[in-house]
Amino acid sequence: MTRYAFSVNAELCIGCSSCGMACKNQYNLDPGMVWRKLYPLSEEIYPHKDRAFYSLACNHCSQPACLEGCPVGAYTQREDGIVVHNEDVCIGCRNCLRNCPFGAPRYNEEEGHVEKCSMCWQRIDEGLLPACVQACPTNALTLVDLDVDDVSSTVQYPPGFPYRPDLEPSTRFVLPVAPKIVRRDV
Amino acid sequence: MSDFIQSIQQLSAFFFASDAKGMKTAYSELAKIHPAPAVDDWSSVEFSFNRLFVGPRALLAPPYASIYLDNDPNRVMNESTMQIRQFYGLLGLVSPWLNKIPDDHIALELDALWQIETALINSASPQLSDMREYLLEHLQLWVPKFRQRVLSIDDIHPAIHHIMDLLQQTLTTALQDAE
Amino acid sequence: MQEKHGSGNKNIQQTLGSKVSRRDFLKMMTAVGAIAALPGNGLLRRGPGASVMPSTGYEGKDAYQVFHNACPRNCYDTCGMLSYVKDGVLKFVEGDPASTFTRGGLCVKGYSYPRSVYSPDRIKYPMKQEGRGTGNWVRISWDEALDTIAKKVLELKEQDGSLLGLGMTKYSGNFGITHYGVEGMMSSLGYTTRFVGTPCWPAGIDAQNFDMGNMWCNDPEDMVHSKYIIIWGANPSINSIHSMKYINEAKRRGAKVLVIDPIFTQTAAKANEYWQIKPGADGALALGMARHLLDKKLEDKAWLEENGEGYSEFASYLRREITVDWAAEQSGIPAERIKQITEEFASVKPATIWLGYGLQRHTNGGAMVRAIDAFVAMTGNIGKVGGGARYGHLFTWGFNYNALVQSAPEGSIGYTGVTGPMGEFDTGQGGNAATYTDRAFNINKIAQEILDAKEPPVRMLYVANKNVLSQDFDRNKIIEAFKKLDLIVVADLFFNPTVEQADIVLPTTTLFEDWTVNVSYWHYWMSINEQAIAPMYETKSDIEIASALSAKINSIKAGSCTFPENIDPKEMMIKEFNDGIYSLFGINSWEDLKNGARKAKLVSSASWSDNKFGTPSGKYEFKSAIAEEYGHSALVKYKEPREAYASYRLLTPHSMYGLHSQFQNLDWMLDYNPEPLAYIHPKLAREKGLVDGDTVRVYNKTGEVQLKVSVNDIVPADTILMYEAWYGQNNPFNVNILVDDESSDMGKYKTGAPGVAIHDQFAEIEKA
Repeated sequence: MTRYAFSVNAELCIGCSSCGMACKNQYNLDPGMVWRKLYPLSEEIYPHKDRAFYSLACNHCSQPACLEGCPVGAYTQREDGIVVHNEDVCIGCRNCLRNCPFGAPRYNEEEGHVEKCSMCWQRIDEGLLPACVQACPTNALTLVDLDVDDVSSTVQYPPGFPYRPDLEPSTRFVLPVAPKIVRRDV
Repeated sequence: MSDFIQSIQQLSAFFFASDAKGMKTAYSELAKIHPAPAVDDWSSVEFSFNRLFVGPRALLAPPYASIYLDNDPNRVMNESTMQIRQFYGLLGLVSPWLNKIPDDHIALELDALWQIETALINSASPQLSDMREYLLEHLQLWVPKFRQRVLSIDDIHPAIHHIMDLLQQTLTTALQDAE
Repeated sequence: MQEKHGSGNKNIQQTLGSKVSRRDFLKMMTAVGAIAALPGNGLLRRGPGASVMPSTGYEGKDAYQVFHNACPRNCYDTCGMLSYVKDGVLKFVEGDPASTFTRGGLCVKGYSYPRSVYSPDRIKYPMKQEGRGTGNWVRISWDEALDTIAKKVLELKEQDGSLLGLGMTKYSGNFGITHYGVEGMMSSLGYTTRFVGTPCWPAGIDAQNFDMGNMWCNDPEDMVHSKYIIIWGANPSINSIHSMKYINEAKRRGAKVLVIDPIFTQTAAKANEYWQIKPGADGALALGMARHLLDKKLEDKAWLEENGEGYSEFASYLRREITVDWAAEQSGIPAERIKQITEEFASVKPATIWLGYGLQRHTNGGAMVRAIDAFVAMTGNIGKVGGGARYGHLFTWGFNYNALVQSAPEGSIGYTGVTGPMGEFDTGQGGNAATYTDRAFNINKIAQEILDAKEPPVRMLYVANKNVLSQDFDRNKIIEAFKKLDLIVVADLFFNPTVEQADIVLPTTTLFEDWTVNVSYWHYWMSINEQAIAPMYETKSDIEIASALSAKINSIKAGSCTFPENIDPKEMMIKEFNDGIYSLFGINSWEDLKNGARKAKLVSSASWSDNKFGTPSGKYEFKSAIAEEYGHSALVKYKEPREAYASYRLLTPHSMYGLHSQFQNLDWMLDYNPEPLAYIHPKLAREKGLVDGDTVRVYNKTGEVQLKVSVNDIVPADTILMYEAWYGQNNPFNVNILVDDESSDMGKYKTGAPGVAIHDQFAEIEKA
């Protein structure tokens, strides 16, 4: 069995946004449309602003809320866990936007349809990595197979991430560690 | 050549023009067919033309279909450009500036229309008529927005407003005839 | 474009032949399945505003032609790239997996490249501005543009008896080797005025040359072997993201990483320890650390005995004049930390320090680099795999510079004073052994130089690969200076503040439309840059411009220019290769690069592994006679920092979202970084009554900017941080409005001019 998932290591992540732009580049996304981006952790979670991030796109849940609520079957869930969105079938009703707590589906106003990360399934089927994973310079963002790989050192619901065990998001996380800081000013 | 076909040809030439002289020539030919405001200072028209359609600053009204059709105002050579290229191919036409100038530049599209109209004079082929209708409808999808864009910019020479009006008018007439 | 009507598309009648009957015509159309295959039948059904096709993603490997390219920006990482082209259109880009350094990934900027290639706003044609700064532009043909340029050049020759009135400023907009054709173009016209030097890294280059006889760093990929890494005034998380994996690997293997930086950078956040140092005190800190080595007898006596010229004098100086407590006071780092880290660093091997370029952008920058180099040398880490005082290198840049090296035409008159190198890439003038040279002005003081120049004054300026009005200093003075110029010609991709001041703009090619070869000043890989798509509109690469100008000016007056006419850009690229490059990279031909990037075959990943230094003594020089020749202390010593001229330190380092004035102007980049911000500490915010999002004025003697503030403790409480970037033609934001052109100490020796104390700037801030 295969169960693909993104693994997000916020300790290795340097906040470079190569992942997000690689996605825009692969799909020629419209200006203003972003499928993957960095979410800065709040100061409660990591004590300095703009210094720790979760790179998030879609969490390819086992029980995807988007798929459940779609009236036209624009979503399909593959055997390997990837939740694919089909723009041609989509009517832009935005039920999925309302149902997904992670903000993965995005509405494209000009086109009148929703868009979201489909884990570069066309690339995966050719044995390639998703564009974002290939782009990451520090292996902070990787592709894992939850059925095969050892993800015991990761967490499924890190602080700041919506706790929705009913949906079973597939993404796994490693939390960042702050260094010893020697300041001269305060 | 009918006035209509001549208009299309000269409109294409106007948008093709690389300097005031070219603009003036096309404009004058058009003025013989449709009344046009007089122009004292062609330099002024040229400056407006370049601000809108050429550069070097960011274009105020890019003259490419895909900008208006593909919901991406900042990329040429987009999906609908390739579609128009395919369309030209079916007619046995290809732009001599392939991949150097976007195929869906208004001048090239008008040139294709002119080609079709001219061919239709000699052979009333239903297939060609269909293709004419396709191109007209394609143009009608973006030219109104293109025209609106031009009209929304301040300090544009009235001669260019006239050209945009004429373009729309010609297109509308052609669509009505096609029905 | 030609204006002959109907010459646009091949005439249908021509295609069909004039004798084709109606019946035949119908048959032909049906034969190609025309009607059935009308593209996007959906087009007819969709309503107004409907898009033609959904976004396409990856269409399978057989759908594309794949080319090898290289990112030619001024960046440590100089990525190998793959370009995916379909029907002659660039669809997307990736990093070259053949390079272990690039490892298949680019960066947030590299991935935005299709956006710049196909921006409707690219400069497409040569254009002339009717009245500088009026915004009234007309299209001209290349012929007319070159004619105007050529005639002005000839006029200058007539007027002044030389071409010293023709100035050229160029820097790092494109590091593809054939782009030295710009310098070549100038040389082939005669002796001209060159704006030499570099705003970037010259102080450190001189320092490393005084110390070791060359700037030559280890292979960065050997950092995995380091047991201790100090990243000093460098920020690879922004500026060399591909280096981070080696640092991470070293850490994973147990290495300790310390970051020393005025700002708590993203790199600092990934370290084991971070020191918030007082800017300009890095030299004091390094000397304090060196003193502690002596106190604890941790210096590598054997190595120093063998290889250290002037070491004992340096050690005496340390004992006499430097204490750890003093260093602590100067730098703001507690003495206890200084001692502990020094001991840790010295007790493992190999240990390395990465000296950044921000570190040396100070009036005492070069002296500080010398001090840090000395510390590394004392620990015996020079010439060691995984060790070294890393700064940069030009080891792999040994091309022919065929484009660059051109002879002046017969009878050319030039400058007869003493001149130094014409920039850090200067390989010397080829051709005749003339008594004349170009006149060299300081690239970092372009405004003052133009204002002061006489006999002859600078009357004409050619600008390529540089955005003067965005990147140079004291912007207001530059505008003033430009008034003295009769003709300003700028070659560029996009309209920017420099093009705004041009009389003629020339449209240039992007890297995808160009043939060239690229290497890095950090890693040791080489990448071919193939022409992946046809040059759009009427764009020309720098070398094509040079060639065309040569043909034009010679047609007006024979013998005016020696640059080869009618070049083939691919041939010019091939001409850059030589046996030295082939053997260094272990390839037989440039064609081997079509299979992917290749790495130099190094004797050792460590530079100076044989301890044969390039100094006069052949040793590591703690005391350098050449340094003294250039007006510096011969002995590595403390040098005072610049005094503050306003209340708060102003730091303007690089943004990750732009490379100088490229990329940030693209709409995709605005999706990730929408606007400039001034970062201030909560304490400073409280003092000024500011909260997140307030608009502030940041101002000093040089100028003023207004922008929003972000309250953040990554900044020291006495500092204002603004990232250097250009947001596009409608946004006047520019940090250089606030940066004066104060020189750094070193740079003249190896680059012809001192650098700029970019980080020794100060400003006031208040609510707008």
